[in-house]
Amino acid sequence: MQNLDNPFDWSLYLSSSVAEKEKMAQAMFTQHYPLVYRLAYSLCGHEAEAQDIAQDVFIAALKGLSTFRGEAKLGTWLYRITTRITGRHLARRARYPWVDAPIDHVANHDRADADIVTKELVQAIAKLSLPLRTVLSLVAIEGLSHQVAADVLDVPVGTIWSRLHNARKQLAAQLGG
Amino acid sequence: MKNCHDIKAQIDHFTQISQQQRQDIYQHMSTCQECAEYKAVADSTADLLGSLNTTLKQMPVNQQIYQQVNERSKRERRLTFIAMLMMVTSVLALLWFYSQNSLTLVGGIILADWAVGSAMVAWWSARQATKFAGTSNGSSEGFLSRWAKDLRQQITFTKMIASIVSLEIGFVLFNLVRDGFAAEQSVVLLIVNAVLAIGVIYAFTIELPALKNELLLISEAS
Repeated sequence: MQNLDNPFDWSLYLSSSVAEKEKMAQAMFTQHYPLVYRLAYSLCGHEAEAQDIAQDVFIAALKGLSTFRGEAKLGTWLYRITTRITGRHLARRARYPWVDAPIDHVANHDRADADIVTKELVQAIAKLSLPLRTVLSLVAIEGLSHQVAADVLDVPVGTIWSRLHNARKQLAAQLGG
Repeated sequence: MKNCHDIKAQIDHFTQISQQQRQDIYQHMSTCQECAEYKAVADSTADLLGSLNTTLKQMPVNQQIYQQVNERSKRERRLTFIAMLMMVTSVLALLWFYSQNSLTLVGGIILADWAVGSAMVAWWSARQATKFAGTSNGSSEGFLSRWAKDLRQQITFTKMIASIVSLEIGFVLFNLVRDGFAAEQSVVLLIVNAVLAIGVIYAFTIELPALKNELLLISEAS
């Protein structure tokens, strides 16, 4: 199970010098970038776009670290930012498909054919509604517990498993399972 | 005896739980149709989603990106600072010209637009993190509800600003026509108006539809 425990000491961050803050921010990036990138990728389904989203997430996070206040776990906070920024990207892509057009054929040129299955799966996930897709990504792909996913989305645990159940049913139907 | 919530949580991490916990699940499912269906549906996609997890974890992650992120972040902080500086300078200039009785209509409009524009850029940039990541702060609303509420506020705000700017454009054009396009001033005002008009067109044709689309995206029936 994925662990989102918060190793980030917010009060220490606030009282640190600029150089120390920079080091702490870099440590945050190193630890969480892969998680953020994977969530962005499973939500948007495109490598290049996921990289852009991950960059936007950390720019927002670096700006917002001083207002983070440590109320939520750092991972939870970053997952929320990722979900919102991905939503913004998806909304703009859906309306203006020629803007920020995904360029996966470039990023994927050396990928094995086996990835076709992954691509089909990602495309099927992309057809789910965003609330369903988010829960599926957090729990079934990232491996978060129901409780942690509920913390990320600020919903009751029951909502998590009902959305997860619906997401899996729709996914299975799409994939002919 | 475990309840359905506990059982469903364990079903979602079936490969990581103990043999005893698995037996508990099977025992529970023998009397609970809902959990049995939950597991059947979970099983139907487990392999595929598990393989996606593995694939995603194998994706190369470029750690050099941190430098780019850091640079962009610093650029945006500089932009916020410059915008705030411009806002203060414009307001001070407005007050100074006014106190000297030398404030013209054109100068007033340009300085006011500059001050409001700078304030909006600074505010927009500064609130980015809280906009994207606002925690619950004791609110009973869920993350998606707060997101939707924020989008509705943005839509209202964008409409309001775009409408006010449209009125200003109309007012300036009306005065220009009425005064017969008096030489220098009219050129400057027409340029300012053109810039503002581009902003209004952008707001109504790009920004507002995108915000509405985002709202639709998170409001989709789950």
